[in-house]
Amino acid sequence: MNLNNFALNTDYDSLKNDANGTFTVTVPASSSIGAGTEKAWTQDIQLGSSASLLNVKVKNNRTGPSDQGAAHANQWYVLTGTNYQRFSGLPGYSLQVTCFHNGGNTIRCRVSVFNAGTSTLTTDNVNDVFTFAIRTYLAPTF
Amino acid sequence: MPASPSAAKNLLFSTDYPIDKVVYKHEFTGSVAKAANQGDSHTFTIAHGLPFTPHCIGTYSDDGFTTSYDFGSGDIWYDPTFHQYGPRILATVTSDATSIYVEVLNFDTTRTFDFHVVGLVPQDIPDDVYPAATNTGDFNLNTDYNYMKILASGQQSSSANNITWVIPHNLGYVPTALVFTKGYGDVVYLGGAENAMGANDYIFYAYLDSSNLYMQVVDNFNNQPMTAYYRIYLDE
Repeated sequence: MNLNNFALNTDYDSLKNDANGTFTVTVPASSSIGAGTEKAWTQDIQLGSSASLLNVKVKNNRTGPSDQGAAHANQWYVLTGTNYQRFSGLPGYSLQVTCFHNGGNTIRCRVSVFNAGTSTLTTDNVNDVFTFAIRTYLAPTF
Repeated sequence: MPASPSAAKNLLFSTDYPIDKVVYKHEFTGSVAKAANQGDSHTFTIAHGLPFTPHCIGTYSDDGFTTSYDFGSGDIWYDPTFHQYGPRILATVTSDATSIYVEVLNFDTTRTFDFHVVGLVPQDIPDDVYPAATNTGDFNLNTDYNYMKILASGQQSSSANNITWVIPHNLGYVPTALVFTKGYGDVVYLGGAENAMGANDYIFYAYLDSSNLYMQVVDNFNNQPMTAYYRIYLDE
């Protein structure tokens, strides 16, 4: 804390607004995922402070998360750590979306596709664009 | 100062809008054994001692906070035990009238976790039940940082199977929001993480656009009463 700045003490701590930013991860159209493997698309960004709390909104250009359909495309979903399902072809597949601290103030936005099957999986012939809006809070002093 | 949302979002501090009150914070460390089956979670129970149910958020790590996840999200891998893709580690936080529950699924080897739990005052608590402050130095408001300013907060309840509540904010930009839900047993969950540890009575989604917050109950399997709590901030 800069003691030259204005300070005021009251009864309870609060969430301190640290930093924010918007970042995009794209799963390219027709990506191939080999049998029994995963493929992850990531973006590492430096934002805010180490071990800050995250408030994350995610939107996708095609659908809402889980079984939420195209009506929820491009709507900001509150909370990450979810999956988006694609059943436009067979086999269907899930896009696992996560966002986490990955060392210091590096935050990793990640979209993964897993192929537990025995043949190559090809994603839909459309770019799947995930946009993450991240707000970091300074964690209270423990 | 006038109560102008468009101007106030840039202000350092304004008494026109309330801010979150952290009434509970707790850090602890615990070991969690490798799960024996897919439902083999471990729950840490911590009495919170508050006269109400706090709304909890927080973060956890299995490597001393080099890598950390917020409650409700976790790491994903190919599980060599169960031969499928799924969480490597996943932790959630819930709360009720007496305790805070940190539930952990660990499909990796037995390991030590660090947890940071932050409890916020819910919106429906009258001022006179706040616990007496024991350390007036806890909240140090200073000009080093901006603060989250709450534009609107409230709650909606229903037993319906499918319902969407539309909460207007009319900010013209997509703000930050925090959502919680309370269901069977008066347990409070982070909105969207209700089913992270197994099927719950209901599935909940929250969306934002530049005009509204949408809170949607997609399935309420047993038509149990549930309540959704929201707080919308001026901050993007």
